[in-house]
Amino acid sequence: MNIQEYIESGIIESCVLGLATRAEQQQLESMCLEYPEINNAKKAFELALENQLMKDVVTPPAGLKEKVFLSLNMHGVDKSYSYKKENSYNAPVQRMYIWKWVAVASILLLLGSIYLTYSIRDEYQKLQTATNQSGDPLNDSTYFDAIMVLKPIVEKPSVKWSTMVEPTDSAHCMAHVYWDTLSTDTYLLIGNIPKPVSDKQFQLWEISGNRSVDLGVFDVSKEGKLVQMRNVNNAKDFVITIEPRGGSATPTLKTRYAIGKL
Amino acid sequence: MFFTIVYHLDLKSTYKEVELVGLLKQKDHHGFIYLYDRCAPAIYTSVLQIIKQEETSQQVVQDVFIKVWLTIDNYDPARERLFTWILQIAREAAFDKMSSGNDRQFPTAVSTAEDGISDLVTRSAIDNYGLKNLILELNEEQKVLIELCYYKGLTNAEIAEKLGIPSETVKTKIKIALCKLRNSLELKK
Repeated sequence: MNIQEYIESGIIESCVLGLATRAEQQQLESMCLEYPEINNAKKAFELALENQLMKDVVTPPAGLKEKVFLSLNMHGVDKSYSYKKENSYNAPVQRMYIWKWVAVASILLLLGSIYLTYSIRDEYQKLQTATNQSGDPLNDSTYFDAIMVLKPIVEKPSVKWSTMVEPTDSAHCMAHVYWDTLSTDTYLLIGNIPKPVSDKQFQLWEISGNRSVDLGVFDVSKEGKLVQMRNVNNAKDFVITIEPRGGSATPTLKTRYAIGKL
Repeated sequence: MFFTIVYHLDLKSTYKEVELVGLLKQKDHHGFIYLYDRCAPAIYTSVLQIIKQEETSQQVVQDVFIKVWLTIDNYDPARERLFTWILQIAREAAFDKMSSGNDRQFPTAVSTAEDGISDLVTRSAIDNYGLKNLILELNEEQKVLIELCYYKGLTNAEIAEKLGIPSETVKTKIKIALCKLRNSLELKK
């Protein structure tokens, strides 16, 4: 194995830039573990690339930062803040006997979290059963904790998402739609949407050309919550309209409230 | 909203990569604000160079940082630097956006094999930034190849078909171009 030849073969650059195949990436990973020179060359290229990309930049518009953090608020980060681990990576280690209490507390926390997980799953199953029995699962929208549910959804490679913005102001993010290309499940993460008047309700549609698919109505009493909407086989563009309470058979496009593309 | 209030603060602290990753994995807001301030301009520039449309690029960057926040537990510092990981998420998100709906219609620097090389002579303002700036130092053939694989997301087989040359030749020529890019980066240190 000629290490220098391997380093100069372009494989490192190809992998770092995301151009390599999975097999090539796995080969480089194992080569890095075996040969420190290759690992160092990879690290050096990553750092040089990073420095170059950070040196010459187009400054993003000031409003983008606000949009990102508003979206993060919608994704329930306020809640996750309280999940912060007590023994963080730089927490000072104190006296040994404290670890006994930490160990006891950890076990209690573990038992608590197991109980909580099963309770939530049980509640979710009850909700599903109740809503299925009601005939229309969307009459009583199924809300569940965004952080608990959103993470595994987003991590699925089959899930695509769309940012729903105002038609006249793309800077104003209203919601996110997540669509699973395999299961066809559709979820709506409600953002900063004001409540419509009492006899009106928001309705989500999937629109492709002249065809519109009713994905269900939803209320906005719970910002930052995820709502499972009706499934749709093919999805491209989403629209939220304001409709009479209970929903309409076809979208009232004059009252388009938010639009988004996958 | 905690995030909305905090991000307006001008945080002067600097973190080492290992510290920053620790903060992000703990879902620390200050760590995330620091990450955004440090990486967003480079990520935005890279996405803009792929999509060439400001509004859509902003949406992609927004989605990228949300994904980073939600999936930071999947990041393995032993495999790659944090920025490398985020850049790959950004490229995938940009190509996903490009392959959906009307975004396919965005102006492209290379549209066909026939006019590919001549089109690259036309430089836009964003070619003066980041990796694009280095690509200008490559020969015309190498520029086309890197443009097609890195900025258009085409596979070697797709490029081979587009340019009418064998896939293995494409692979070899891309690797030579990448080595030249690395040498340019080293010279610029």
